[in-house]
Amino acid sequence: MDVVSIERNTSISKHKGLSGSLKKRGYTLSETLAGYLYLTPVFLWVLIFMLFPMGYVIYLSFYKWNFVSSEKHFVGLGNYVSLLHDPEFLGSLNHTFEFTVVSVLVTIVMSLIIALLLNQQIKGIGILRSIFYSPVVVSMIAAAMVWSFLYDPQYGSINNILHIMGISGPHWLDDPHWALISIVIMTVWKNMGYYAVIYLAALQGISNSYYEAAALDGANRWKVFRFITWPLLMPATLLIAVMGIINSFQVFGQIYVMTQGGPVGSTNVIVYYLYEKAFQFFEMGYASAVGFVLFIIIFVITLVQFKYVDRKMDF
Amino acid sequence: MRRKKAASLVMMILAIAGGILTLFPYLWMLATSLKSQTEVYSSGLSLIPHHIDWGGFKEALQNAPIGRYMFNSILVSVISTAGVTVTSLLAGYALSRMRFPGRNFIFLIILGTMMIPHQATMIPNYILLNWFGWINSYQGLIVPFLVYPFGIFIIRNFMLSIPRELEEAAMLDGCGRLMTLLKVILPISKPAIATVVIFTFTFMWNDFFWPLVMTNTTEMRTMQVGLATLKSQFPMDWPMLMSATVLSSIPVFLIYFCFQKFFVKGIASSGVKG
Repeated sequence: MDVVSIERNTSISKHKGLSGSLKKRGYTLSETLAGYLYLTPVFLWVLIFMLFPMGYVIYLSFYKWNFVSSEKHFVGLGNYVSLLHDPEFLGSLNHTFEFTVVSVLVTIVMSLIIALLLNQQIKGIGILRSIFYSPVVVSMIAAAMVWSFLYDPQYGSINNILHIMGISGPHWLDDPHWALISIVIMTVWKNMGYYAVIYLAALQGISNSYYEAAALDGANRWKVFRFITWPLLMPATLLIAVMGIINSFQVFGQIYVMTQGGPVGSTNVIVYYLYEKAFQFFEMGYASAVGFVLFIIIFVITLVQFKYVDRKMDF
Repeated sequence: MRRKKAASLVMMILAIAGGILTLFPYLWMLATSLKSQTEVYSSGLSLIPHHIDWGGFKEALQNAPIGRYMFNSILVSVISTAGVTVTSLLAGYALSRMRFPGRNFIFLIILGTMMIPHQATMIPNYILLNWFGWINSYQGLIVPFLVYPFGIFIIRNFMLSIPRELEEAAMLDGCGRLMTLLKVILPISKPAIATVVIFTFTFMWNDFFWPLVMTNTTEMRTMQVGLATLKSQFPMDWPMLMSATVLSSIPVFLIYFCFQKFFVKGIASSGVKG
């Protein structure tokens, strides 16, 4: 006897009232129960690993707590007030914003160029597509390892190539002026294939009739791009911008491997700061406040996305 | 006409140049892993080693229990991928093929959890698993990842497109709901399942932050954490570090080259069609 028939039996004996009211709205009790049963693992997971932690992180952010001791010290909004006066936190926020603005803009430009290049009917384009996409597949840690070596001022190939061209390259990751830029370049390389695929799909969704009409009007390539392709890619661009912003606010792995927030704090970003506070200094309350601020920022970005992006997309 | 041809030739050359630039870091990694120490620190840019030297790989295997890291990563990735597949199938089926009150609202909640950054819930999750006594354990690495909202999303969207008549026929033949899911819906949904499997596996294989905070002994480290640790122990031993990186990348690359189309399809369909 399977779940459905058990439910059918109980529905007859016990839940006439409930069953009746469900029926009125076009549902059956057995299907309702089965649906909820199938969703049980997800309910439990959302409750235990999402909703509870969300509530608990807010709760903890009102306390001072060093994790080891059993005593939590209520400080109200104290942690948040401290955050506002914490130069390291403000610095990390600042670096995160810089990183986000630059990397998202560069990623949009690069991935659009790649998508336009890959949107051609030529032989071997499939191989090129897999090549451009491949950095997405490797782990951030592996990519960060390789790029640490590329950036090595003495033995790395970037400065060696620059040397051949007669340029003496900077001490990329060791120079506070260059470290964040180095991380941006590496991150763009790692992620551009992902966004290029989104652009590519959007490009292929543009109806040919627009281009035919433009050809009849004698529009040149740039005009076609400027007045047809680019406006029609707007939903994809917005989506990429939002995804890029959200991902940029969570940048961590490459920072951990390549700079550890240095030199002199120049690559200290919000998640790295949270990690240090929580898992190296065990200032759980303070780190929770950082975590909640991160949540608020991403929440606001997502709301903006719901308002502006989704409405313009065809579902 | 000639101008048009020239333009597409330029585009092609640009695409190939870009492809080579994109590949360069890997080629450099691979070349370095096969070079001897002296060659790495003396010669500049050659991508082909003078003579192949496996010293880097030997050293990597001596300096770190890479086999153990590999085992941990495979175990954690495989089990959580299997778990995600089951939970996504059940939830995706319920949310797409069954009718019950609150269905769309529940789906919205699940989508909503996608905007909670992992890092924000990391601290309470760590504390929670500490209460369970699961720090530095496989449960701790796996259980929080047994549900993947994006997987539910992919499966649900795919199943919405399956015609109703198919399962009605099976149900008339006396199949229960679970049987219908397994015998009728599951075989049709293979492409969506493949996408979920590949996404989950690469996500788990590449995940770093959670295994970093969750594990505190060498035996429990996953490949990514082990790799990062190796770099902090031997920051300048490039042939050895590149060898370890090559080893760590082999599994995802194998999977990528076998199932490329699913990677791209997954993004294309999820990204643009919403």
